[in-house]
Amino acid sequence: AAREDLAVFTKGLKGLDGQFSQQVFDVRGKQKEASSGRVAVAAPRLFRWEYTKPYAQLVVADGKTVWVVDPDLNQATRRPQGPEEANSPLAILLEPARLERDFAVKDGGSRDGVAWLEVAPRSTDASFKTARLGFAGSKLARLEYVDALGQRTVIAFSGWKRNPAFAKGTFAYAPGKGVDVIGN
Amino acid sequence: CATLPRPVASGDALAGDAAQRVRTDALGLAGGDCAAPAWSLVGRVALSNGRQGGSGRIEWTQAAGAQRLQLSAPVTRQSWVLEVDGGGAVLQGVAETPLRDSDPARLLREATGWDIPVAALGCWVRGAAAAGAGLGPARIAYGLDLLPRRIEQGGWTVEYDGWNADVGGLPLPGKVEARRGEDRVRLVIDQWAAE
Repeated sequence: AAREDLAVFTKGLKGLDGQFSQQVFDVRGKQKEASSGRVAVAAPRLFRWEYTKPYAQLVVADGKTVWVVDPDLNQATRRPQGPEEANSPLAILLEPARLERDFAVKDGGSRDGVAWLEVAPRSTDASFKTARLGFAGSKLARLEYVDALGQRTVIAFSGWKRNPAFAKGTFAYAPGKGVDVIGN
Repeated sequence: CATLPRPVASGDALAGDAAQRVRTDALGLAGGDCAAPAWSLVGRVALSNGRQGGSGRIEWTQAAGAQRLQLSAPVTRQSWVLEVDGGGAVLQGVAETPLRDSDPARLLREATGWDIPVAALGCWVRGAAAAGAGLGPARIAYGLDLLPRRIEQGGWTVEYDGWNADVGGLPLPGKVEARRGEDRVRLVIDQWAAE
């Protein structure tokens, strides 16, 4: 089931590049938001979460600093990369050994072709209470978060490229002229 | 730091004030109650206080004197919710348990470090001066379209851009930036709705 899928998916995995579509549902189950874009992850702690629809927003982590860039708001916020990123489910994929150590893991059964793994971070400063990783055909197809206020975020992945050669600057951000840079 | 584009020519103040009265009355703000009547917006907000910054998705609804602001972070959409009514303010999602205070601005400042004039923003975000928020008189500079380009009130400077008249034909701003000293709230409004 899901644990075998995870083992197959993460074997020899050092990087991933693919598309995501994200939906957010309020506590009553009403969809509040839909967005999509590209996601890239690479060992040791690099990631790029690039929204393109309905508007542009970039979250990029170069191992030391996390940048959140909002072109429409003309603001780029930087903060030191910390436990929050390390506890993200995507980060686990590149360090599967950490899964059992840093998360309580439960098999979540499988429904209509998706095998689920339920993970709950052991540390309290993670940015989510529980998350579910859904595997289809031994590939990570779904990621779901439920936050403290009961809001549910469902992310579907597609077009995964394994261990791709990333272009230079994929996991870096240099603020352009005129962008307000905020943060330490 | 780069801010919203400066208007080239400003509109006539008297004509602007007249047009402003008509528009704010139509928005239900004649009484100066920033919570009146019932409206909501969805958009994005960037906050900064000179040292720290943050940005996220904002949902803001106001109806019958009660306000609800929800801010969600990118990716995990981890969010906090501020609810304000006659009885005071409750903030959920920042601490393990809900935080309460009679003054919403103080509650936000102490819990998050952000200085956001919650009471006044309900008017400012719709391009109106905040009469009832104890911030004193406002000075409004109008564009040639006789819509507010800038409102100065209580030490805050609020600038507007991207006016459009989607909701019931009443012009509402698409971009709002409120600044005072190091504190800055910058809003892009994706959707207005009059409940």
